[in-house]
Amino acid sequence: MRARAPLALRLAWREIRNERRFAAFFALNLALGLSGFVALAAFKGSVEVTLDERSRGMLGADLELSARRPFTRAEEAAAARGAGPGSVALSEVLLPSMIAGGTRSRLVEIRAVGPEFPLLGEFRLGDGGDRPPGAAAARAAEPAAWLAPGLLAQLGVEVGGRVRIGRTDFRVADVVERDNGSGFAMAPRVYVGRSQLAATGLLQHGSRVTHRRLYRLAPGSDVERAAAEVEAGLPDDEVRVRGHRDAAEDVARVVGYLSAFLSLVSLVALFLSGLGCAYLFRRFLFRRLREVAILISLGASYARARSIYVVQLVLLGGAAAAGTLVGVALAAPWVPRLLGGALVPIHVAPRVGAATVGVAVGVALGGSLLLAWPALYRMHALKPAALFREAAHPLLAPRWWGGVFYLPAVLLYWGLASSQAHTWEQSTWFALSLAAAGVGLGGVAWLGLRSLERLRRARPLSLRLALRNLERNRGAAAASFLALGISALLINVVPQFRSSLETEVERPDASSIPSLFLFDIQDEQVEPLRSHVRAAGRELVQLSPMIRARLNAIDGERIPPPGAGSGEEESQRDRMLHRAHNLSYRPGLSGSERLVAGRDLRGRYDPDSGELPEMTLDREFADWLDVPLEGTVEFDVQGVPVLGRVVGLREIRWSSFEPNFFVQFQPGLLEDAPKTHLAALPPMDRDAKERMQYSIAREFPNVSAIDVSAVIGRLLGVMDQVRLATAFMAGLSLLAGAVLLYAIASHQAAERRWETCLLKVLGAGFGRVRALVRWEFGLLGAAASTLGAAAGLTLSATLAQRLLGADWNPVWWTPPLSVAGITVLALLTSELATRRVLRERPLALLRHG
Amino acid sequence: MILSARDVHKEFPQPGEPLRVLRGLSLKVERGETVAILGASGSGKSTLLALLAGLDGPTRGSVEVAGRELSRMSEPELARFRALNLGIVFQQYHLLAGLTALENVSLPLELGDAPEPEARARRALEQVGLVDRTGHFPHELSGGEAQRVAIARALVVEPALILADEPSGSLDASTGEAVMDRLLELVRSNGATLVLVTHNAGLAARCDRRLELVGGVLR
Repeated sequence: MRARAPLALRLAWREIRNERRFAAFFALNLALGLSGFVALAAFKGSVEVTLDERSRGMLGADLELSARRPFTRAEEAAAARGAGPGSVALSEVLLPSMIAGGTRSRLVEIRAVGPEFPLLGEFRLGDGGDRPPGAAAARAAEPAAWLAPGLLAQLGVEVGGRVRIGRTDFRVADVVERDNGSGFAMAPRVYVGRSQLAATGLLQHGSRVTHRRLYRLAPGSDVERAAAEVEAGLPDDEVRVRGHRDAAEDVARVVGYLSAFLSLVSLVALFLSGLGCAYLFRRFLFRRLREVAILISLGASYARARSIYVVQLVLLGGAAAAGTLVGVALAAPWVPRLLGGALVPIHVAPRVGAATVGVAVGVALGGSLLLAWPALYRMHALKPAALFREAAHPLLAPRWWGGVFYLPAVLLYWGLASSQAHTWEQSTWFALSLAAAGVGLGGVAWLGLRSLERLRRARPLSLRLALRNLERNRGAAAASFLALGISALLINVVPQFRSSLETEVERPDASSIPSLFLFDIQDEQVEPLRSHVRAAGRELVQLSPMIRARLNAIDGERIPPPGAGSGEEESQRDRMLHRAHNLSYRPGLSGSERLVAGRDLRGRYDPDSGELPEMTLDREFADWLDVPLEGTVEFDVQGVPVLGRVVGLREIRWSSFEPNFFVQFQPGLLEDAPKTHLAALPPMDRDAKERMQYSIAREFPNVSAIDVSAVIGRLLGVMDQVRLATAFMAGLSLLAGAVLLYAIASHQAAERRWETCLLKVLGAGFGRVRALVRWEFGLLGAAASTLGAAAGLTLSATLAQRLLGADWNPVWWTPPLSVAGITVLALLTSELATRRVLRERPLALLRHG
Repeated sequence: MILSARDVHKEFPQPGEPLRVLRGLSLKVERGETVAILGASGSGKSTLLALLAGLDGPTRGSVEVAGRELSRMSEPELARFRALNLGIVFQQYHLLAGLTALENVSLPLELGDAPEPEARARRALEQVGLVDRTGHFPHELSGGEAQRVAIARALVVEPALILADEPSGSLDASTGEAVMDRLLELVRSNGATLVLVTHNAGLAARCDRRLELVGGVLR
């Protein structure tokens, strides 16, 4: 005997086959919403797997010790004991410096390595050889340097040529094509032998130097245990110990910030698709109520009738998830390009693994069921007795409290946002912003549709009927409006924000942004540097002392030992508490900061006053530390405790690129502390800037000069990548909106068959009926995209002013283009959706009813 | 006795006074009996059928079918009871559009987890003369054929009680006559009980008993 599938499954399958349009729209809509989110989940999963696989190579060692000072012999001995017998150690020093070649100079990161380099990981030189710089440098008769490939062209030198680092000339030995174990660098890397560093004169007090000691452990060693043992032997928390997995986690964190942003943007598409799915299913179920009533009259319980639709949702959700996964797998090679090599430090293509399948299926099924739940729940109010009445069609009257049943879907959405954002505040802000955008756009749509009542005398007739249709179907119109409006908002916000940033860079004369930013200026170099700059007709501005310190206590409470917190937020706070902080002192506020609480510092500190020294803090920094106004903070400056009282909180416009500090003390307290200075040079043209950079590199080799425009240029590159990725997500949102619009248009066309037929019988031609549809959906598309674009402009203006402190400089062609594009899309979609019904002959309609 | 309705009241809430459709209605039907209920439009015929089918509950009073009081059953019990003990024929056929004639007929058997649903459905279609239409969908059937499928669906579970609501109301006169002939013939040959709601006096005359619903009670 042939086994039969359960009745619910057979009926569900039959309904899917008979309602192909609904099934296709529902699954397609869900798949579109899911695809961005799932692609990012696959990417993140692959990054984690890849980092896990390559973590040793990425650190270039099993274990790393790092500090901002040289290691003591006792520390090296303790580390060697922890690393165990058979381990090999490599010492190296990292520091930023200027490098000059020919007539040009630029900022680089010097990596001065010992002869054991490289310990682990792939290292490839330009000519394909693998002569390690460490060993070769140790043997070389004259100082030699190995350069990152781009530097040759930037400095105008070739292999075999000469570059100057500090006080020493180096021969360019080769270029380094690949160094997997190099980690992140703030500037292109230059490799030299460690023994050659001293002669450069770069190692001065206060220089931003990192000392590293890397270990390759004996085969079979337990890295985590070794790391713990090394850490236990090093009581000074200035020495950081990392296993290769910790290093991979640092990379993962950077990738995480990017993917979290994009995941949140992708959730907008998921939100729109959820809106569409809820609408589609509700209309579908309400169309099927007669059949549900028949089933119940024949002996099906309500639960059984409901189970048919649950099975359908599971099948459709499964189909959407499968389609999404296939799409993501096919698109995998293009995802890294979308995310951008500049943003993601390792090349990883998303792989569809078990976790990704779980995410896709879980979100698809969970989302489908929760979005359908309100309509399914209402089924219990169905009265099959209506079947006995003439022209019976059981209906479910809407209930004002029906929206409450969407709460589980809202919670699922918030949960998804929380899983993507780094903090629950971020996810809550995201959800609230989206809700505000939704309520704002939806509310305006609703009010606008209500006010259409006043346009009852509009001409021509097609417009009047179209307005009447919009007014009658406010729910569907508001849903379409929301979908198109949010898409327009997304399309507009990032390009507008980028434009403001670009303007800041491209108009240096009109901008207050400095051209060069100088750091690591020693005390004794201040005056000579000032004279040097003055000789070139410029002035050193915003000269600021900088003292490195660590936190000791906040409000009398000692800082807990590192690693005390768990979870992302606490780990961030833990890192913030234990990192080195830069203190400064100056009598008043700079031009790029303003007081937001308390008062400014009162003149010089008088040690005989009996009062604590005053300090002002950056407001966000104070929030991080959780220190109130009038609270106290104690720092450790080179072993000397410095206690101060917070008298004011400042808001700093960091985008000014002026020297600013989280912590500013009164003058009169820190002058004698070991310190370096920061300074800026005012805007100047490119040639003058390059000449100045070169001359400073020659005369003051330890002073590093950052080209601020180049930094902003890199930021623009990042913005471009973000814009591309966001545009892709906006495209998904728009597609989901178009599918929803198509479904609504075709559904309304079907519902209005009789009216359309009647219009034709009364003498309306095909053109007039089509004009009605065009008016209706064209107006909807134009109004929604105009409002969405306006919201995007407003948001970008707010972001530009709040984040950049920049003048808002919108790209005026984007809003009209997006409005025109979305309106045309709405027209085309509605045309496609209604074509069949509009072309039907009225007699045929009358015949079939 | 297969059906007993005692002092049944049915009110529908509305602004102001509730609408009282049935006001203390009582009805007893013996096994194998055919009863016609006549009444003007809006007299409460459909409401009465819905109560007898357990698709709605009375405001007061009780309805017993085959010795079981419907209002005392839970919703799932009532559903299963309806699947195996009641056959309903609607004026507008109410076939499921996505299922074939055979699948429509076998549906009550499957809902009641009865054995051999397909074979029994095929036999029921044979009885109404539609064995050659088993694979047809409702939109491929004429009105008369669709109503005969609905009759087969009502009879297939060999129910204790068949409730029919104007079974020929949507058909032309000759087709309606033929459908009614077939329904009565099958009801009688199967020894089933029929409660027929109609406003066609000629049709009512062919039943064993005729009652008229006036003012919310049967006369």
